[in-house]
Amino acid sequence: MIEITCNDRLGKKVRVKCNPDDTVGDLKKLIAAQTGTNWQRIVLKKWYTIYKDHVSLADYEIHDGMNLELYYQ
Amino acid sequence: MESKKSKSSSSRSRRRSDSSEDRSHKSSSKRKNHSSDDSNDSDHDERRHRDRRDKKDKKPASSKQSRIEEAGGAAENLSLSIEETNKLRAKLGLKPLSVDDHNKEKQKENDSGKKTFIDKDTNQEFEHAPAKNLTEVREQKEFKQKLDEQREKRRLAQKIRQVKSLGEQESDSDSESADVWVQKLKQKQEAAKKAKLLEEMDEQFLTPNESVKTKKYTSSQLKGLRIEHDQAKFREGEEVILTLKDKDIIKGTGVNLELDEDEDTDVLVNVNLVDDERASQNVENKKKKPDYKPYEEFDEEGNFRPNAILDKYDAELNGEQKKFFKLGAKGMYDASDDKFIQKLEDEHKSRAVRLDILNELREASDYMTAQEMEKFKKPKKIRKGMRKNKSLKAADLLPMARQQPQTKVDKVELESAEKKINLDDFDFKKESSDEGEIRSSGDESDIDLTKLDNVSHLKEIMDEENQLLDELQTALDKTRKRVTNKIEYHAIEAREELELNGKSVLLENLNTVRDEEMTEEKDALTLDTISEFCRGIGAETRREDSEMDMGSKKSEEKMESDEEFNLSDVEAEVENEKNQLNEDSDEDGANILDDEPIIDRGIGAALKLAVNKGYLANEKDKQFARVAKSSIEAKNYTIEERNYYDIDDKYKRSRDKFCGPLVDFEEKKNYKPDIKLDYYDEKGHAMNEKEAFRYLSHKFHGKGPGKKKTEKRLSKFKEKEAMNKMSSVDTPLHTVELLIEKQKNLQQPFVVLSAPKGKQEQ
Repeated sequence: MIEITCNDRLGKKVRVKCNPDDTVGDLKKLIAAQTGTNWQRIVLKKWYTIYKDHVSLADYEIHDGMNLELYYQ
Repeated sequence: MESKKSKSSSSRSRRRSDSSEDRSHKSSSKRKNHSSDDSNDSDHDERRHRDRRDKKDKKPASSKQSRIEEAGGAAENLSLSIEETNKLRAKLGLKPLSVDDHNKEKQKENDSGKKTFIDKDTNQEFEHAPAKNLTEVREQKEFKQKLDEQREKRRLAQKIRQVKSLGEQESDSDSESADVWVQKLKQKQEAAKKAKLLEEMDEQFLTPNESVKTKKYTSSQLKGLRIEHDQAKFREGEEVILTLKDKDIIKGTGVNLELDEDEDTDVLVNVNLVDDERASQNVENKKKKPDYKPYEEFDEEGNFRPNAILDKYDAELNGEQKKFFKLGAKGMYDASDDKFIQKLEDEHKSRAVRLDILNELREASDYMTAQEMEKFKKPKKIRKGMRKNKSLKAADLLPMARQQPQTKVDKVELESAEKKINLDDFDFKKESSDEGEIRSSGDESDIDLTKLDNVSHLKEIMDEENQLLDELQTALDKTRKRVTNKIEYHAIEAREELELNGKSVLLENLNTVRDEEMTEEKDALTLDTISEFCRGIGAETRREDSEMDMGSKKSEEKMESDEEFNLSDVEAEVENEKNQLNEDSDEDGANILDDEPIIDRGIGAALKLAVNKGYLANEKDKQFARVAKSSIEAKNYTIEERNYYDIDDKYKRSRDKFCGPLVDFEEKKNYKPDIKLDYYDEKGHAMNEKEAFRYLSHKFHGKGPGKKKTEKRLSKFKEKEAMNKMSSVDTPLHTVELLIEKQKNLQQPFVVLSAPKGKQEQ
């Protein structure tokens, strides 16, 4: 289990617990469940890399306690 | 995993069905969140505590609270507990969170010293191998080495302890009492006795042949022994002590490990001889002979030596090849063979042909040696006398004749006084007289110079000498005569011509007189006061020159006579000849002073007089004068100096070059052309100097003047033309003509030069 912090810099900061073998899509769903937004409108970014839905977190080397940028489409 | 996937897919499908419910739940929670926006502190504190507990125990939190609110309110930090997320995941159709990762890791760490980790991401076990500490390893190594050394030391020490040293033994013996020592001695004696007994028994039992050991070591046993010295070192009747040479423990070195059988035999050497050999070898080495010896194909003994490659290293590589010989039977060595061989070799050598050419090989030098010079030089002939003969002249002989009486006197003295001392002097005179004879009479004197050594014959020789002197005298007279004849040769020639012509009787008489005089006079060059005086004046020189100048003078006179008198040629010639003859006779004659020349004969005579008097400088005289002067001139005067001082001299030649001929052109003396150069341009205009130059320059450079310039020039021309055409009495507009016409029309003698009034007003 890892805990990831996602922050849109507009007043929402979400800490999500997930498994490393979850896909980015799953993470988005969890985030969406916590924030109450449509998960399809969520964009996860780290600098200029936009994470794609079908790739697992481990493959993106997203570890415990990492901060991701949260954007909305 | 597949089962899980299938499960997740099934859960997804379920989730879709439950989506509406899910949304409602979310909205409710959100609502809750907003409702509690104003924040209750207690709730907040409680949550914090719970979080801390979570971290400490790593146990799933039991609280249902999921909302988190930051105190600042800048950003809401939302997080769900594990249970809540698991619920949510179940709704989303995801597998539950794997919680026990950290516990596992810790357990593993505790179990063994090795740090095994389970990768959080991949769930794979891995060990963390610490990097090798190099210093540690090195220290370990060193320590190990130390230990090994110490162990080895201990071992050796133990070994040594077992062996008893001499001192220890002694100390042992010392420690033992005298009794023990006596006992030992006794034992030894007994052993010796036993040995003796055994030997005796052996002798009794064994055959005499087998008892070799007891036999004495005689010279016969030396057979086959090797002596490593040159046999020449051993002389008969001399005693040399030979010892066995040390053998190498390891046989052979490097390449030639195989050894010949001779090496196994014992070798005898004498220490002193070995030292001698070494010393001689050292001396050889010190000589530093060149290593490259292309022509030494034979060694000292005359044996052919094949040309080995780099044989200078043979001694180093294969060891020194020492001379040796083997002892024959009974330890003797027969040197007769060697002697025989030596004899043969000598014979061989004596028969061999030596090539001397090779012997004379040496560097070529630019200079001959003294020996070569001797070969090259021809033996010098005694040339002194001969040379004298060749250059012998009457003038040389003259002083000789004067000397003769003196020598006679000398000889008389010589007879009376010491003879030997003057002999050399005499020799010389004799020689000279000989020469004279050879030259004059032609028959050679029979006097041998060796005779002179004999003093007893001196008298006879003197007689002969006198005779010879007489002969010489006559001969000298003859030669003198001849010489004087030669001097007067030209004069005589002229005289002979005259004789042939038979023009003047008087002259003939004169000649005869002269001849008589000549015959009478033996010394032609006798000096008298008059002649000396004349020479002083310069008449003598003139006389000498006169012959040379005669031809030219003749022609001169001829011309003059032609010009002046216009007589017939024959007459003039005769007259001239007569004059000349007179002159000749005058010159030749006894009267050296000239007769006063007659000036009224013509200009030629006058000129001659002038020359004689020195009014006119003679060319020859000038030259002679210069020659005479040269002896007086400063000796340090050099041509360089002259160049330095005389600038005119220096540039004379170059100035001449540019001056042109200094002599006038005789034939065209009156030809003085008036040269005028005129230049015209293309249109036939005459150009002045400046314009011509410009024109030519333009032509030369191939670049004409510019357009404006040409225009200007043309306009100038036109103006000029107009000016030329213009009448000098009228204006260009013919005003004068018009006025005159007007006068004619008006028939008035005047013209009013005013405009009409109406026009003026206007």
